[in-house]
Amino acid sequence: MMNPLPDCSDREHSALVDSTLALLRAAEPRMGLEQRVLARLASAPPPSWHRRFAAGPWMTRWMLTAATGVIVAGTVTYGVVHYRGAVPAPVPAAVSRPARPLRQEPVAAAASVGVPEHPLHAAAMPARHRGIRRTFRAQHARTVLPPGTVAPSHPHLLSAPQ
Amino acid sequence: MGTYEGHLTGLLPLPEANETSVPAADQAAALTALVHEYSSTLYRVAFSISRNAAEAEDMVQETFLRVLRHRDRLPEIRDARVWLIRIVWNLVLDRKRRQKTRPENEDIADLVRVLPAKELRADQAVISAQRHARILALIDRLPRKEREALLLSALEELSNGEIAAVLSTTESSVRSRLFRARRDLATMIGSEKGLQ
Repeated sequence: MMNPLPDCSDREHSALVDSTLALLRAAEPRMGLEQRVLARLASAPPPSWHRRFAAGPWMTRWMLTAATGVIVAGTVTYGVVHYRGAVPAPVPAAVSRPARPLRQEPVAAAASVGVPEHPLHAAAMPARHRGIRRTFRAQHARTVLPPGTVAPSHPHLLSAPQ
Repeated sequence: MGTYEGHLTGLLPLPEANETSVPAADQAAALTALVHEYSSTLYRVAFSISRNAAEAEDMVQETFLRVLRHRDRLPEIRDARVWLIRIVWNLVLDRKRRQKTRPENEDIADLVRVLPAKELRADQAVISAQRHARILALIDRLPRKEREALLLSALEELSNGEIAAVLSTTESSVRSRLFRARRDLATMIGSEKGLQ
């Protein structure tokens, strides 16, 4: 940093600072500060109860806090106990429902209707045709046409016989 | 609503906050003694930061109001002077923090008023006041810790140990802060034109 006052020694700097600080030290209040302070204290309103409580000795504060806590806890406990005693426990309403039939085992149910064995439990079932084509062929017998007959490829397009 | 007027003049007993504590009359007497003994010191502490006479006086009154609220603790206080200085110090710093948005007002007229009137002509007094105001502005530019230590050291009543108690630090820390503050201040003054 460039010093524009190179001839100003540290001692002079220090003297300058000291003379400025001496100004602060020499500051004197206006006459009668003590009387004004006392008058202000005399006219101050007394502290509110919470200020007095906060400024009070710690033992008093703790005792009052503990007593308040005990009172609150006791009130809550008393209220809870009495609330439980006044209201009876809820009873489920009696609703008549139709009697459900007894469930039978599958084998017993099949025997009751004259089937010796339940179809789901039958071990060997006859093979069935599966699929549309096989089913169609099984249901419709093949029609034998006379020789020389040309079968229409699209019979539904033929005109109806007059 | 009642006031403390009667309590302080001895017409009414102070409200008993603690039965085992010092009697109310003794509390009032102790408080009055504190006011008479330390008002000027507290004023100087407040003035060193605020540099405003009215504000400094306000702070002194507020300090003793706080003492009044906590008068039950008076017997427990070992060093009332440091305790009071700490209260006023925190109050002034708090107020200054809240007023930070306001422009700094270096009241040169106040400085001229407190300048020693030793064969100084009016123009010399003004020049001197401006120079001191400039130094104070440079002090304000110091880091907070260094600035606080330097301002408290301006009060000759306070030793380094007491400054450490006010600032809640150690005595060696106060010494190093003072050293750094003066070194930085010398650098800043050196870079200022027209101070000398």
